[in-house]
Amino acid sequence: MSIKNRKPGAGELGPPPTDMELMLYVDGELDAARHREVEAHVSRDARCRAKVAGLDMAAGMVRESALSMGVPGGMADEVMSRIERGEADGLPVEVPPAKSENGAAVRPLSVTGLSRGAEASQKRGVASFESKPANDNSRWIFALAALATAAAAAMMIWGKLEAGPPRATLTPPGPADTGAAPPSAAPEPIAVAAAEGEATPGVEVAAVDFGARMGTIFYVPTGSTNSSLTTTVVWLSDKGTGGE
Amino acid sequence: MKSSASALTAALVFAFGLGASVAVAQDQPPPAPAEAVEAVGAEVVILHAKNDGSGIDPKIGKMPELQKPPFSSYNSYKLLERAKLGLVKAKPTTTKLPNSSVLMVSLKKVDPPKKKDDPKRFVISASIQEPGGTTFLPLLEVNAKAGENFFVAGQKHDGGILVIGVKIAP
Repeated sequence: MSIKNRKPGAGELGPPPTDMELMLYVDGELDAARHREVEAHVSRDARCRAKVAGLDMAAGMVRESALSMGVPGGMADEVMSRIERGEADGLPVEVPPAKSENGAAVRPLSVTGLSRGAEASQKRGVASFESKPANDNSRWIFALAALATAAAAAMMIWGKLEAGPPRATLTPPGPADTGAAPPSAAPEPIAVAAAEGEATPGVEVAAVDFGARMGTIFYVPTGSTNSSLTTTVVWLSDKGTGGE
Repeated sequence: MKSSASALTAALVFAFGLGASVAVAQDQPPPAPAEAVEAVGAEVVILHAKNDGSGIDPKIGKMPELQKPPFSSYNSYKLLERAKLGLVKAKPTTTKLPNSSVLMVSLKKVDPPKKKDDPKRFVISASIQEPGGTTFLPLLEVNAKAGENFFVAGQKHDGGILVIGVKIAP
């Protein structure tokens, strides 16, 4: 479909068309009255015209892509010739199976009312609400599925943007859990290993040196509803004989 | 075919719209760098833990942790001292403890929020020197938000132990 085929200014100005109406307009699926109104808008509004041009281009790309997939050799010609002969009016059309490249037979589905469909397709661009309810439903289901997929993808991208780069954290071994540091003559600062899936520590221990003593880091649940889920406690033994 | 084309057109339009919104999100400037914080207030509480059955001193205030392990190994907590400190970056502040040890606390740095609504985090280091030159706790370095407590416990004192709590003032 091309914009050039439309007559600008052929209708009265109604309410401005929505994006969905513009899509329906491009696909020729608006009723005749609304089609004229939208056409009038498109002819007078440069933004509408630009949107329609974009939609036209997108639809053309989709159509070309679909057509480029092609059908088994001879099938299209056979269908068209039968339509022209009027053999399919209201009756199932039997199309002989075509041979695919690997030798397997490709049998199309039975099609009813092809001639009526052909007429409808010729009227395309003016008004067409003759499509069956089932077609309408499938179109909306298709559109909703596409929307849901796009929204999910956008949320994933958004989440990655929000998360920022990964960071090595010093996380507690768990509420009231222990992680005694072994005594040593010249101890190095100890970094507590990270543990996934535990309660968020209120205070993160970045480094600790117990010296010659025995020490334990506890993360005690606060039991309160404030931001800190745990309180960090460093418990050392006096005289190096173990925890009190 | 017409239905498929409409659906695909709709999907393309939505995808372009969402892509544009993601692009806008990417273009948003990062959060402004936090103001350089060189000093912060802190509160130190010094508790005496014993097993004399006297319970928890009401002056301590709301501290439900004291009834949970490992604190619950002592049934009595008494507030010995509550002190306000001004922590200046790279300048240790000292507090004398009841057993004559010295607690040194210093502000090492302030981490800016990673996300817009996150609070700043303060990197605090603490150590405890005993009289006579020995060190009870050579180094403890923590990363805390304002208002969060951390404790150092275990020094023997008067039939019990000292429990030292440090909190960055909100």
